[in-house]
Amino acid sequence: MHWGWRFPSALQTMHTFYDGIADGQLLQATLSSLRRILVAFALSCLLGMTLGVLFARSRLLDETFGFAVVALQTVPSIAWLPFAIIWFGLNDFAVVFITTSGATWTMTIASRSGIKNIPPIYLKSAQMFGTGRGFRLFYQVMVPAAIPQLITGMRMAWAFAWRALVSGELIARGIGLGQMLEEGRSLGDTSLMLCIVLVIAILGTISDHLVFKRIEDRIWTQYGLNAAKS
Amino acid sequence: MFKKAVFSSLAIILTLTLLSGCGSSDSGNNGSSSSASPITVRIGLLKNVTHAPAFVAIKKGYLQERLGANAKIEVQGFNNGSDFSTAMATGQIDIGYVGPSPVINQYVRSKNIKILSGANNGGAVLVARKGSGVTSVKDLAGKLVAIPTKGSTNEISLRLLLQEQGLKATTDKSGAQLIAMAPADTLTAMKQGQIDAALLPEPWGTQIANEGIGDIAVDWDQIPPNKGNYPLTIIVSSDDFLKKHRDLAKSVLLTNEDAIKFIKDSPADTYSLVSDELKELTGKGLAPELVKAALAHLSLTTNIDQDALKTMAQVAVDAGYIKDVGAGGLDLTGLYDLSLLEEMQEGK
Repeated sequence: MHWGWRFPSALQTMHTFYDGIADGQLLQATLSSLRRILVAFALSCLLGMTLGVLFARSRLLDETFGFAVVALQTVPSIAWLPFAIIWFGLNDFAVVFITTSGATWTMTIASRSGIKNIPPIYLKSAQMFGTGRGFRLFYQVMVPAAIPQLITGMRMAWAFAWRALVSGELIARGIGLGQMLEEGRSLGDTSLMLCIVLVIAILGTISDHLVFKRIEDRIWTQYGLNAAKS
Repeated sequence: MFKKAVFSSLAIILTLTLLSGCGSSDSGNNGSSSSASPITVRIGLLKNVTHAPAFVAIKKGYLQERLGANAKIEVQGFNNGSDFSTAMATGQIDIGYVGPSPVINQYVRSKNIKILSGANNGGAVLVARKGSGVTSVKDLAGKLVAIPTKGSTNEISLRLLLQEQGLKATTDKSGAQLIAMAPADTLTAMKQGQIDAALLPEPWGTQIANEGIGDIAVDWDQIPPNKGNYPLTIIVSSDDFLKKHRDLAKSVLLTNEDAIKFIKDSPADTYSLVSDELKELTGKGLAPELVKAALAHLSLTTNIDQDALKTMAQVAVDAGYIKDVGAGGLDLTGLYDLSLLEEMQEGK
């Protein structure tokens, strides 16, 4: 077995990367993918947190629909692809739908357990200080107390969203990293394929390091949890 | 104790898998050295009527006859030429029928495929969905047009058509927006109004027209290059297979000739054969009228028009599908091995 063309050399990949940047196609694809994932990510954070809080606060909801969320989380988002095509067509909306459904459930479960795991003493003492049981308790105590878990949930949701995005893009029209990956496969262009894989990996690392990790670190320090960890 | 048992059983399983893996690959290689042991010939083809000679060669038994009783024939159907070419370049099929453009795209990268013969010229049409407002190529601006795969022969034809009208193939609404999907999915997507037009190999275009979903906007004999007279189905083989089994490759070319002759001499008998093979490959046969209409949209020939292929390769270069072309233009000399075809034509 000789690898030959099956695995592109570093030089070939660099060359393809340079070409992609030079003719703008790679840049455009990256931007389109980022646009889709940001929309989907924002949506799934919003949806996930709302659902998570509802489940954490309402036992009735938790015991009925909460179960469905766990079930939905085990469904790979790509399994919704055939439906997405029929419901929305082969457009951006279908891809955003798949990406959102890939990330929402993780976010829901993370925020649910984030709220549920708040030590009851926090809530009780807050109520003693007069927050009541309503919005002020939620906003002033529960959200800050759950933030470490929420950030972890967001990190995971972000990773899940990427997975869903690329698989969704493989079939949709327009341009994106998934489409370019599929184009590379169709043309037998392994250097393009590797190039896209690297771009996704780099984007993932950058976003994790520059955004989520920073926020997480800051919050851990703010909450005095770094000391506890070390 | 328990740990030990698990470990040793795992080790045994692993060894067995490795051994069996070696065993099967060995038998595959040894098949060529001794003629008595059976040889498996893995034949690839696409599930379109444009591959009718292959269907007839298989169904009429020509292939088994020419390859000998020793040969075990394995047929693999593909949705598009990209999948076919990847399979051939990675040694999963030996020889088969496919469109030329994906082969060229693959060849410039892996250099391990050879074109041996033609099978069919033309046989693709541009269909437009009813209500899409597309009646000619000019109307394709801002529309979504399906092709079987990126870099397919049909896409090259579409790009040439667009070029003639000064339009571009794009990824947004400024020109004709291309989308790659399997022809069977294209039919469904067009029914649902998700795509506006498609350049497809037969029978798909005719089928879409017959089902009342769309109309043929550009007929097969107007599709560039050469107004339908361009290779759409050719026979290719992996370098490996050609080196080891030149005789078998020649047999395949001979059956191709037999099949083309059969289709031309007794077209009425062809329809059911084509339908049966399609049914085996896709689970769905085709009505005889449909096969008849599709076969009327192509011209079977073993010749291969290298100039047309050169034109098509240039379109792929312009589209950015083939990169790093030297100053002397794209060199495709290593892509052809027409010696078998010449031998046949000289009657050897």
